Amino acid sequence: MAESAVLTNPLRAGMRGERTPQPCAVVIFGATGDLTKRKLLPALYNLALENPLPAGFSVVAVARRPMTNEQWRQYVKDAINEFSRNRPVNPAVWESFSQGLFYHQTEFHDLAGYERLGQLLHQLDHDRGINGNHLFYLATSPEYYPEIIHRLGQARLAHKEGHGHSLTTGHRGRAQTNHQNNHDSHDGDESTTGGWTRLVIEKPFGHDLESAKELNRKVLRVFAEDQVYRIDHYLGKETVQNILVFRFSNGIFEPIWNRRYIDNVQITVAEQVGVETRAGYYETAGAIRDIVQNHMLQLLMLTAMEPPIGFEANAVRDEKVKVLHAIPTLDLVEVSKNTVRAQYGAGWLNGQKVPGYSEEPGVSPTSTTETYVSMKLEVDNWRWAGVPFYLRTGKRLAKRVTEIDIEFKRPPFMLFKNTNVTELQPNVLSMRIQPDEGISLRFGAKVPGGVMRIRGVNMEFLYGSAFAGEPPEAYERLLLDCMLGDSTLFTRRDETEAAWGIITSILDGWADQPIRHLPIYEAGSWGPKEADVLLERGGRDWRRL
Amino acid sequence: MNAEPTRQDVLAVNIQTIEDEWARLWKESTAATQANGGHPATRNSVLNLVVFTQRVATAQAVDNALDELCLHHPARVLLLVAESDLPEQEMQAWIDLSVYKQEVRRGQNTSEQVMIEAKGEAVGFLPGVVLPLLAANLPVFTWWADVPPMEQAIFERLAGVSDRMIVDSAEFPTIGASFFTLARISRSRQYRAAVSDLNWQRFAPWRELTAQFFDLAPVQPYLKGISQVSIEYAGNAANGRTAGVSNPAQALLYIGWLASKLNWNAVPGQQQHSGETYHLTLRSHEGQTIQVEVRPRSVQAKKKSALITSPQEAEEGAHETSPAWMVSQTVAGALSTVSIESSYKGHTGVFTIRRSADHEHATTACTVDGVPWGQERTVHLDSIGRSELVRAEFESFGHDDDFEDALSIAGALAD
Repeated sequence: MAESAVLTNPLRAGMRGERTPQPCAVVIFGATGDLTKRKLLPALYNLALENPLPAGFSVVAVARRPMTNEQWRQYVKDAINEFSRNRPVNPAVWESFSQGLFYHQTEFHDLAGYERLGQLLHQLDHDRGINGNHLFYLATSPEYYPEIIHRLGQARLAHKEGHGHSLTTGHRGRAQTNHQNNHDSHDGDESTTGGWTRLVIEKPFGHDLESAKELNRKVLRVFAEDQVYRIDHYLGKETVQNILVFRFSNGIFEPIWNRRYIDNVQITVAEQVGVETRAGYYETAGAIRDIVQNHMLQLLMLTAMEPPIGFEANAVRDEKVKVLHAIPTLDLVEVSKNTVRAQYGAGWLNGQKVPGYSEEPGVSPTSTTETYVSMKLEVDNWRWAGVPFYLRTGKRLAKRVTEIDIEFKRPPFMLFKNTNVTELQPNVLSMRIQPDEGISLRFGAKVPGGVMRIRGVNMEFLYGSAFAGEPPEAYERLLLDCMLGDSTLFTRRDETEAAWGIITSILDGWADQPIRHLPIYEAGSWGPKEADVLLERGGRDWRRL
Repeated sequence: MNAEPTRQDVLAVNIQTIEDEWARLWKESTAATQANGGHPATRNSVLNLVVFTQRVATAQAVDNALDELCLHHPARVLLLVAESDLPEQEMQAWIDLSVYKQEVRRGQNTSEQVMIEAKGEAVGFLPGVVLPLLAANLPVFTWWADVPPMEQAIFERLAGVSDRMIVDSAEFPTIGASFFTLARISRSRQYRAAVSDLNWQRFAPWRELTAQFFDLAPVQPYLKGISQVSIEYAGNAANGRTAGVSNPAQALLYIGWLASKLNWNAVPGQQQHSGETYHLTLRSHEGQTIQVEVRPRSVQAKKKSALITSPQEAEEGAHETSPAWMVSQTVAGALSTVSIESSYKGHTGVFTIRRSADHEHATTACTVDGVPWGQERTVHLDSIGRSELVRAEFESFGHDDDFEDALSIAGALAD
């Protein structure tokens, strides 16, 4: 029913503009948490404001704290007024939006609470016309995921039954309308009773390979894979999505996007902020779990993947996961040789003195948690064999920047050897994700004058110069995709596990070689000198950003 | 974001030397910026924008709007002022470079602009001036900022070099003939231009809200049983302002859209209109007769100047103190109420969209046999000014089949 409800509406055919999901209820577990308050509630309100969500759209908050519907509505209003990019709330829109806000108090282990939730959803199905379309969003602390998923299954809220076929197999017509395509992949998550049920899981998805596998097993006992949306908000960023557009909509890059022309790839995710209030989580995660396992490997996959057969969820994810399978796990020697971890010490940043990590509130003074990690990975396939991928991320670095740099090989012949020119610099193609999103190409140009001198210049494209409109927040895009059943920008089971396979090999290597004191880098610097050595061994340098 | 450009002095130039003068301005601009240690502005036009006006006042209003447009879409702008009514025959041009700096996102860009004023018979030579000035390999958007002179040769000649023709049917004095001409151009292989109507974009939320009624499976059968559609559009203001003529373009395009989507055809000889009220009869493929009433409705203005009788008036600054939404949402002719009546298995459903008194919102409601069904809902109607509407067109590529289908039917109904 859910599919036909939209696909058979002739008024939809050919309609341009924004995408509108079917009426549905978003059920948020952990509704009073920070993520919900800062990101999810403002995103849902912005969608209601700017891209009218369908009539009947509802948000059901599930949390342990007692609260009435009215108190919850006030809570939501306050959150929007504090964190939404559209604030204060528009009174008329709020009037309609708030009518769809409901609060359900339960302990996460209490089956009866889930049964009452089921009754509430059933009531909303009828009263608000949402027809069994339910999106469960896990925004709790990760340790509650298994319990909540298990109880959803016990309370028969998961509707796994009726899953007979996989999604987005590529056999569907490609000439469908935009709106139809938006609904291309969700028919598999419809229940036999009508409506669809989906589950969104926030990162971290596990803390190593084994725990990720175990969590996947628990999830898939209750939900089918095509109902599961593992979220990495990085993929909701416009400029991350643009990597695919840049690579696959421009014919000039693909012929040189390989080992014959590319010397190395550098991916940097640098933060200026320290651990802030996240010490409890960060002490158990470190930079490698917090950033590398998800965000950085996503960037690596998008950079290295082969062209998919179509811009469809599984076609894209098939190619991404192949990249991960082509990255060899690291043995102990390679971990020692090809990875660097470090921790920030005190220093100066933006003119202010900042404490070292071990002095931060909530952090053990003897902590060996890494706040910086860099590594060299290989992608062993036909396209990339022999091309090192250097990854670095850290907190309290000199600058906040996320960038992918493709460094090309130098010209094979020094034409200008009888001149003042002693060395030719490599061309570098840089894709900057944030801030100042854009793409630049560095090449050599002759300095005007009688003497032959060559200087590197940048040909720069800034998004801000060509498209000044502000893109939607990543969570707005991703929530809408979930409601529309488009899982292209979400992580599939095998992708998650393959990523953890690589990271776990490094974690194992580190565990095997415990160190009493991590290298310390000064806050406000570009990291430890050991990271420079990692590249110098290959005759390379980190890009200066 | 700071859309305030810094400009070189506007310079009167000879038509033949425009390119040379631009090159010189670029060189001077770059040298001056570098001398101050700055980063030279990027010359990264993404489109050619030809703006056709017939009045100096319009050109000045457009010139102001260009600041916003070029901030988002750096362009080579050819602003044409065609005063064919004047007795003298002459042509003059002024050029400038406008550097737009943005505060939210780093960077600046520079747009090149030339204003060419042609008088009398010289207007006929404008296409010959435009062609060599178009930047190569960039799409050409032609914006008819006044009522387009569809009867003049220049209209079709510019259509021949444009990728997109942007008009605003809210300004059309006659709907039927104008829609007919636009439909012919958009369908003709002779032209490559797609046609865009800012007025079509203005009521996009109404199409979306209409479609949303019928997304629900239990409601979909009512689509085949539609028997009556009533549309009210903003007419003259209740405060006694009578300037401007009520313009039913939005209402007719809305009916054209419904008809094209639901395979309705006009019943020959049964279309009537008296003044600004239309009584139309259409028939579905299944033989169902649909009665359509389109009529103007006096709009209770929010404050004295709330009703803008034409976008032109707004653009010219007659309502400088009005917020942006007034420019779009209270343009005379804006949809005010849509009511669709339908029957299915003996039940009567009524689907209504009604603009609120504050003009900024719309409320949707559905009743079955007079009893409310589902939730009444209020949504925000975007505050889209004319510049933003034009800007959105810069992001559209190719033909909009929905619009072109609606245009053809609306043109036939309006005749």
